[in-house]
Amino acid sequence: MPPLNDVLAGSLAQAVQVQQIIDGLKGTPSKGVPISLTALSDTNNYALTVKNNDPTNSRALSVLKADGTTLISADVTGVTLASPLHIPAGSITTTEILDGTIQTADIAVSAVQQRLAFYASTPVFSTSATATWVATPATVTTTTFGNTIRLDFMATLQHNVANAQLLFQVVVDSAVAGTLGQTTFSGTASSPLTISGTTYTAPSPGSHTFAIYVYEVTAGTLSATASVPWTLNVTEQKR
Amino acid sequence: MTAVPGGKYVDLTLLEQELADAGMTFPNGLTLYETQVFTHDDAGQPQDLPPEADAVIAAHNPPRPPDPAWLVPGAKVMAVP
Repeated sequence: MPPLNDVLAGSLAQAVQVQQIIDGLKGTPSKGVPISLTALSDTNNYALTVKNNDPTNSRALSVLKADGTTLISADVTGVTLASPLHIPAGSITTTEILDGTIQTADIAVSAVQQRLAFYASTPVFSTSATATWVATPATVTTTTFGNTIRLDFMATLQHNVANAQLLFQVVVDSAVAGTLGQTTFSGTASSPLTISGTTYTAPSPGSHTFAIYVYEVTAGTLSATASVPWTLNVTEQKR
Repeated sequence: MTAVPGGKYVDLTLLEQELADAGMTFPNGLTLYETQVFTHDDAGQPQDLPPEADAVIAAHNPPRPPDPAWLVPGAKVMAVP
């Protein structure tokens, strides 16, 4: 496209020169000329100001793509920008984000604390194996991401011997490392006892199995109490 | 591991006695894990029961204990999310 033609000093402006400006401003097909408002050096004024005094729509600016779709528009509804939007890093901080608008689906997996897996059931479990760690059905397998894992557990058991002693642990990948707790059943045989608590571990990223293990100190039969659910929640913490 | 039909009630103490009566003793004890019954080796690892145990388990039919007193008829155990 030809640029706007200068009118030489002392010469009369030709109709073609004036028409160039008219065509440029009207958008006459095939008569476009580049307009560059880049020479201003003025402390107080904008190089370009546009305004539509219509209060209903205030359509002030429309910048179009070659196919006629919107690149930028500004009207009473706000500013509309074409996608993708290229925003300089650091431009959007908490100030620009309306409180309460981030949805769960917007958050990447492992980006925040989340419950990875849980066991919530009434297990069928009984053992007479004494002085050995035995896995219970409260077992879950899940993929962790290398952060601290919080294990919340609850189990209700009974022993057919009064005052029996029990050790318990929440075990990662079947590798029992000491005991987490020890308790004594009541003086009445087969009275239910609930154990619950929280413990932490930090396995390497990958698939791991978490399970409640029990250890009968006292010979006899240890059983999950009927009709009472057990729980084991695996939560990966981030901060 | 020896399978127990799903839903069948097992009294592990009684089953252990029934197996002993049939000539099978398990010094390291038995474990009922959902629908499986097994014993343990000296290191505590699960070990299969001998095939002869199948018939004893099949014949095992203890009376199911009554529901706990707190579980009134028709009541459901609270679901855990």
